[in-house]
Formats: sequence, C-alpha cells, structure tokens
Amino acid sequence: MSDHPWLDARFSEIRPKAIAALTRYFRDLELAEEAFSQACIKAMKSWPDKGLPDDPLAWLLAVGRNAGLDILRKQKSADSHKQEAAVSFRSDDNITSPSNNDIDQDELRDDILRLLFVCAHPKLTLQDQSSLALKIVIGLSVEQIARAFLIKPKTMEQRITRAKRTIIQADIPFEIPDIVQRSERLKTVSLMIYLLFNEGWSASSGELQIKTPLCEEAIYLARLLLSLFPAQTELMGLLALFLFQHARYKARINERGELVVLDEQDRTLWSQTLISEARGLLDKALRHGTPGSFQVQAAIAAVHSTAPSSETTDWAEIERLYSILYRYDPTPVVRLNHAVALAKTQGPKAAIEMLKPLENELKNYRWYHSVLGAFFMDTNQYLPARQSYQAAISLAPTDPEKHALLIKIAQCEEKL
Amino acid sequence: MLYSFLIYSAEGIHDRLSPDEQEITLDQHRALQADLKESGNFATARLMPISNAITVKGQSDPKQKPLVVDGPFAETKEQFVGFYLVEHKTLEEAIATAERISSPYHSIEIRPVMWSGGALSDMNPVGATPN
Repeated sequence: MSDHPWLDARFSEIRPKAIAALTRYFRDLELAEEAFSQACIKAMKSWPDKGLPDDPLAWLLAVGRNAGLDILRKQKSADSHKQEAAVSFRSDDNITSPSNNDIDQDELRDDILRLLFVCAHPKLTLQDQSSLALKIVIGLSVEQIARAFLIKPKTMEQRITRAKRTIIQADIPFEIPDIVQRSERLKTVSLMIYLLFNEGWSASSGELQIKTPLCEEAIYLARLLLSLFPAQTELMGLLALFLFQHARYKARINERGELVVLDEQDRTLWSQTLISEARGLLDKALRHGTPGSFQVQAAIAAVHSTAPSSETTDWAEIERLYSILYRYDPTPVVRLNHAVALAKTQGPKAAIEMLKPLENELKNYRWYHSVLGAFFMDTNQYLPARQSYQAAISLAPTDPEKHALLIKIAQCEEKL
Repeated sequence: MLYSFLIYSAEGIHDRLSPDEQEITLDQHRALQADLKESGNFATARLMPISNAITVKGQSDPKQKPLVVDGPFAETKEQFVGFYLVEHKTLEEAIATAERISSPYHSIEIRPVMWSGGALSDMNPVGATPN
C-alpha cells in the first residue's frame, strides 16, 4: 500500500476500530471503507514528515469523517436519506479538529462486534462470511484472500461483491446490544472464527493440507475480540485452542508435503512460545469456573501439547474431557474423537463398539471411515478394514490423505 | 546507574508486519543483546499480550482478600510489551542503547532503577535492597 511498512501495519491495526466507528457515523459500510482509505492516503502524506499523531485512531476518524462527508456532498445523485443522516450527524460534531478524542470505548467494542456479526450473516456460506470479515474488518486485499483460500482472485472478487450486497441489506441495529444480544453475537462471531481456523487447519480438498494464513487471520480475529471483551472465558478458550494447535503447524507437514498425524510429529518442532501463551490463557479462563465448549477443547489440546510423546499422553484425562465436551457439543464428531481416546485407554474393541452406532450420522465423513479402518486393522479384521478405507477414499480425500489410505488398503490386501 | 528501558507499543502492530519486517526489528534486538552480553550483565523480557494478564487489586479493608480481575483492559493506545535492564555510566549512553532498538512501532521509556533484587541484585551494587 505505501513505501512505509510501519504505516501499513499501523493502518491495519487501527482498521477494525476505524471502520466500525465510521460505519456507525455514516450508517453506510461502503462509505466508511472509502472514507477510511482516503484518510489513510492523507496520513501517508502527512505522518512520515510530521510524525505519528498522539492518537492515530482519532486522527484517522476525524479525517475519515471529513472525507466521507465530501464524498456525500459530491454525490448529487445519492439518495436523500443518506444526505440527511450525514448532515444531522455532522451538526453535533466538531470534526475539524483531528486531535479531538471523543471515542466511547464501550460503544466502539460493540460496533466492532456488530461489524463481525454482520459479516457472519446466516444467508452467507461460511467461506463467504470469513472472506468478508477478512476484507472488511481486517482489510486484506481480494488477492490476499483468494490466495489464502486457494481460489482465483476473479472468483473471490465476485463472491465478495455478491456477499457484500447481502449484508448491506442486513438490518442490524446500531443500539448498544443488551447482554443477551451481545452474548448471541459473540457466539455467532466466535463460531465463524472457529470455522475459519478449521478451514485453514484442515483443507477440505486439494493438495495443500494447511492454509496457514487462514489460521493466522483467525488467531488475529480472536485476539481482537478478546482484547475488546477481556473477561469472556470462552474467547480465552477459543484463542488458547487456536494457539495450542497452531503451535504444531511446522510438525504437521513433512518434506514431501504430506500430513503427519499427531502421534508421529516431531514434538521438538512445536512452538513452546505459543504453547505457553495458550497455557496461560487457559489457566486464566478456567479459574473463572465458567467452562464451555472452547475451553474444554483447549484443555484437550493442552494435554496433547504438554505430553513429551504420544505414549506418555494422559489419554484417560483426554477421554474424560471428551465426555465433558459431549455435554456442550452433543455431536457425532465429538463422539468419534472420544472413541479415539477410548481406544487408547480401553483398546480398539471398545472404540469400535462406540463408533458403530454413529455410522448413519457419519457415513459421509471420511475421517469416521479411516479411524474405523485403523481400529479394524488393530483387531486383525482386514476385510472390514479395507471396506472402511475404501469408503474413506470415495469421499474425496486430499491428495496426501489419499496416498496414506492407498498404503493402508495395500497393507490390508497383503493380509487377506 | 542501572537503567530500565520500558517498551510501549500498540499490541497488534508487530503481527501485522510482514515476516521480513518482523525480522528487521528482531535483528536490532539480537544485535543489542549480543553486545550487552559482551559488556556485562543485562536482563530483558518480552511480555505476552495483556489478554493473558490478570490484575490483583488490594482492598481498602485489609481483612478482605485482594480482588483478582481480568485485564488491564486495553483502553490505552499503547501497552507495556517488554523491557531491558542495563547498567550505563551516563544517561547519554542509555539513550544510545534505546536508539539501537528504536522503531516506528514503539516508544521506549528510560527510567533509572531505584533498587533491584533477586537475580538482578548483582546488577545494581548501589541499591540492591529496598530502602
């Protein structure tokens, strides 16, 4: 964007706050974006010579408001409603002074939450939701987002344009939300960020297993939310969970670009810095005594992250945590993970028993079949093992997964 | 005199730099630390984000247990992100040290140390105990 990387970093750090505040001011997301980018251009001309203002956010907001009002004035054909709204806002505001610091922090954090909540519109697909959040809230370019999702920039452009049209019509009030509304918004937005991380963590198809930039942006959004709502234990849990998992990313792919399962990862490659940050967050969350799904998931990740090896992992604790997790998330996928832990504590037979009743619900989930296949192999049942692996292959695995499954099938056939 | 160098920065900024830019700032610190190691004792730490912090607040009634709260809340524009402790003969020397790790992303407060203890006792022969 500019010749000054420190300016770009400063702008992107300020962006979520600025876009949220300007959207409140203009009641128009696109105008807010345009006003902010014009304010950044002005800052690029002024800051390198005059130095950083005392309050860069207030400076950009004041300049952004003026820029937005200019745009409105020039838009003769703009609908009269917008004009009126902007004029009435203007009357009680002394926007000429860039040092004017009238930012209401409580209002601002709800505005940022609102912005994320608008992006998580239920009519949009998950990928469109998070693409929008990356575009609007974080300010990534269409090219960057397309690269992160491994799709063509042109396609991404069209999707973002379409998605934007949907959310601009969304009628989400600007009033400070009550405690119930706020917690619902936090839940929706947390889930969007959680799924964004998962999209990065386990790509659904294609060669690349991990779209690391998506994980990093999910972490960034979780950090942003937690900085706004620092007493929310589930946000602490969410960020801790991300950090525990992201700490392993260097160990997850080998030189051939294949996925390395947890048991076989070189644990010296795990980032101890991230693990200890996650540990600190989780400890802080748990002492509140208000557990939830993300905290329990983080606690499970913590057990893995602090074990020196797969053999020394406290599987009994993991199994216990999965049964607690099932109370918050009564889903077959949680059961499946529970079964994997159960196999470690009580053996593959018990795990197969737990998995069998899930067949109907999970028959299109390839990990169900590959896990079941492994348990059948462990109990020398090679025919059903091969069937399970074949079922997994039929469900569009990624290339490295497919490679691993073919090896397993060959091993079964040797025994038959 | 023992000087503390208190580094303040908007917390999210470092993560928003490109990996190359991050390396440039880290290299400044690596170079300074290598030199400080040659010349004598020093201490340094980078702190985790304030989301990881809690605050223990003493109550006015001494019989009540102190309050443990989350935060501090990030209402300030810049946060305390890390520090150095280095022995210098003059303030000019201390300023020169701060200049070596200066960047557009943060500001550094130089404040002389009144007393220090524990692992830092050796670093401050004048005031090694509270007085």
